[in-house]
Amino acid sequence: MPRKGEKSVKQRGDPPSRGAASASHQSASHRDVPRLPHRLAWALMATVFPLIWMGGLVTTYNAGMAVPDWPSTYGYLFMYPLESWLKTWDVFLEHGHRLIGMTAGFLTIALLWSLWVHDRRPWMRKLGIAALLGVSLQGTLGGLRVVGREILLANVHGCVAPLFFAFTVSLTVLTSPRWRREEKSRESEPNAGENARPARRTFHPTFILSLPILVYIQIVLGAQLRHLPSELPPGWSFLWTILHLTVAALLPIVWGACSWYAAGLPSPFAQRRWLQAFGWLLVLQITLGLGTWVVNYNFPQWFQDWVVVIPYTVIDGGWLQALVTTAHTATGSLLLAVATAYAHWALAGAKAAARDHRFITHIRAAGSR
Amino acid sequence: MKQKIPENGSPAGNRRPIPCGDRAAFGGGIIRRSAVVRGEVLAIAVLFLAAGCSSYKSPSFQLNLEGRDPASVKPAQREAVEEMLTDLFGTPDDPRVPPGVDLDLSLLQRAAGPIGRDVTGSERGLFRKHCVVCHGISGDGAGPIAEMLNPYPRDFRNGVFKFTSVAGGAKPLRSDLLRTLERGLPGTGMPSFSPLGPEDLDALAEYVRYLSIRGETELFLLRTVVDENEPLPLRRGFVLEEGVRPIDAMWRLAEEQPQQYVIVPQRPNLAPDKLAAAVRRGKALYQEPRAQCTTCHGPDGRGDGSETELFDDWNKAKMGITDAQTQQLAKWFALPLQALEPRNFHDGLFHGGGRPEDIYLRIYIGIPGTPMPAAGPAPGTPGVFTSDEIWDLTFYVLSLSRRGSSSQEDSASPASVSVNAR
Repeated sequence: MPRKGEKSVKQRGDPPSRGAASASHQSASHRDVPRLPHRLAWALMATVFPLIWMGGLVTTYNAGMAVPDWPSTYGYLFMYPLESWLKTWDVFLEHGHRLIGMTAGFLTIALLWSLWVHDRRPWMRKLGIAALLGVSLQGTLGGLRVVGREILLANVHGCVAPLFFAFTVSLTVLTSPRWRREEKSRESEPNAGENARPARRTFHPTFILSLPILVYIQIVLGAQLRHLPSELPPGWSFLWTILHLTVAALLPIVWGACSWYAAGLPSPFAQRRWLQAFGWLLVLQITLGLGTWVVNYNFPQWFQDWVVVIPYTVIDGGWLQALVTTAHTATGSLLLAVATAYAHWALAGAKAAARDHRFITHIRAAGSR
Repeated sequence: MKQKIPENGSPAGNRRPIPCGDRAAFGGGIIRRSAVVRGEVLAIAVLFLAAGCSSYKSPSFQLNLEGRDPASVKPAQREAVEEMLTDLFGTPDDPRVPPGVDLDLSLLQRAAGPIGRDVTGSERGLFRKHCVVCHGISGDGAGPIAEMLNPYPRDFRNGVFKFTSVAGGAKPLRSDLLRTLERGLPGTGMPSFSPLGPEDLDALAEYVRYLSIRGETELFLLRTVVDENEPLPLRRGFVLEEGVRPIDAMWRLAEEQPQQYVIVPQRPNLAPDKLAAAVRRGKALYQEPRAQCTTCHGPDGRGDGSETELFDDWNKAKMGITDAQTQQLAKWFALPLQALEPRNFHDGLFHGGGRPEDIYLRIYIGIPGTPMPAAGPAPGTPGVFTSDEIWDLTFYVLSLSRRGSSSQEDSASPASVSVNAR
């Protein structure tokens, strides 16, 4: 009868040698890993994603200023009358965005508490404090955007949101039982199991980080197109669009290179799975990006001249426009989240591979003497 | 017994530093556990610092110096024109209506100002919410996204609108502007605002009229002050009498004298055989030299006529006689030169609408501001074709379309015209 830790390892499809080699250790560490911080990190991450959707809808419908006061809503802090809330669409969006934001805030406090009580890693507690600071600052930024009527603040608020979402993904990964097991395994048995084989290819951290960094640059460029100041000269949007398209073209190349590198590493550290998810999301995101242009500004003239003429009329504020545009925004954040998760595992994998390589080099050097 | 491996990867007791190449190759000693997280925290901090450097600035109308050397306008002249315009029309946040001008201030206030709702819950800033990204704060058609669109968004400041129901060069009716707002312009960036309520649409249409009347007054002032060197300071009474009132009268013309200027299409209810005959007659009219249709739209209506270099009035102004002149002029316009493409009727895409009534109006009135001429009679002009002939042409044009009418409720769709014509 396999023990609990051993069973879970085999179910994930890892090589049997690994499970057999360290089953006892994993089983023990599995029990040691506190589950509450991870569950709360999950809950926070699962709250921030709809929050991003709601924020995206607020921008799509230009509903950011539907409620003129902050932190209260027409004078109510929490108990804004349900009837008034549901009556007007833009007020529904803005107040709903605020309510989900508050939920994220409370979850962050709970997460910090659980890290303080259950997680012995000091740096993890610091990350909990950083999360609380991040969510507070993001909420304040959203509030100041309302009070100050400043589109630049809306822009920054929109750029911080995916970063905070990525941060919650980091917290979820770093508190996960699997990460903790790998962490303990790396600390105590660096040359155990499949990690003992040296990497066939080099894997520089800058290269690993290029994927989330590039995704984030793309998000910032997209935010510039979403939050165009009314007095911006026309040339700027042209520049933002060209840059946005250029990075969109670069992303599949970087993703392909990352996938090629990942294939050459001895330990997958779950990164191939993340890269596969990233690839599918990228296809969806590029499709949504093209769709976003069409549902906002119609088919470009070159498309009508060279491909096909489609007598389409843009519907401002229509459900298709809102859905496609907001989905493009939210999928951008999701890509960053997946790239972040990939980066964590890839960095850990690269680090372990590098350490194993050095260990074997030293053994060979000792043997030759 | 297992050896403890320290962070730098060397076995315990061996403190020999790892070569730099090794570090670069495998990241050992460089990678830290929270490299991703530190990057996220740093990026958040940078963005907050960026946000700290902002404060709300009320946007202002930009002086219309399109096609002018900015150096040719003296600072005193510029100041005089801007002051007079602000005195008469207010600002984008606080619009005013000059005395006697046919504009509804309450509607303007609903459309003007920053986006949001006031403390009573009434919506404000509709123009900035729905229009400014393309048409710009001043209604100059050079909003932030304008350069990416083809055709460019309309510059309201000349008071010229493409799709109207008025002949003889009269200004559009409120209903014309409302129709464009409700339906949008198929195949272009101009959306349909059908999800908006009638009050919002009224407010937007009124604000478009306001920007046009303001823009035309601005052009009058620039002509008077800069081109004709009118002595400063400007007299308010003079500007009202000589500039604003005549412009307002032009905007009232079609509204007050609809029987003379407004064209109401009365579509003939034809049996299939008569419809086919109408299409045949339309085809013959289309080929006639007096119609001049083939020059741009080509012999078969594919948009491949002999006239290849076509520009609308907004772009024609950007063309000099020589290339050097055109390059010089380009510096004085917000948007680059953009050519027009005559409609290919076989595509079934009509910017002004695909219903028979829409096509009829396009042929009758023409498309103001473009090379598409008016073919129907108007006050003071006999016209090239009669109303019946224009219907024949309409049915022929629609018979070429391979698609149905853009209006689903339309019984006489181009598809049915096409079938009956064969």
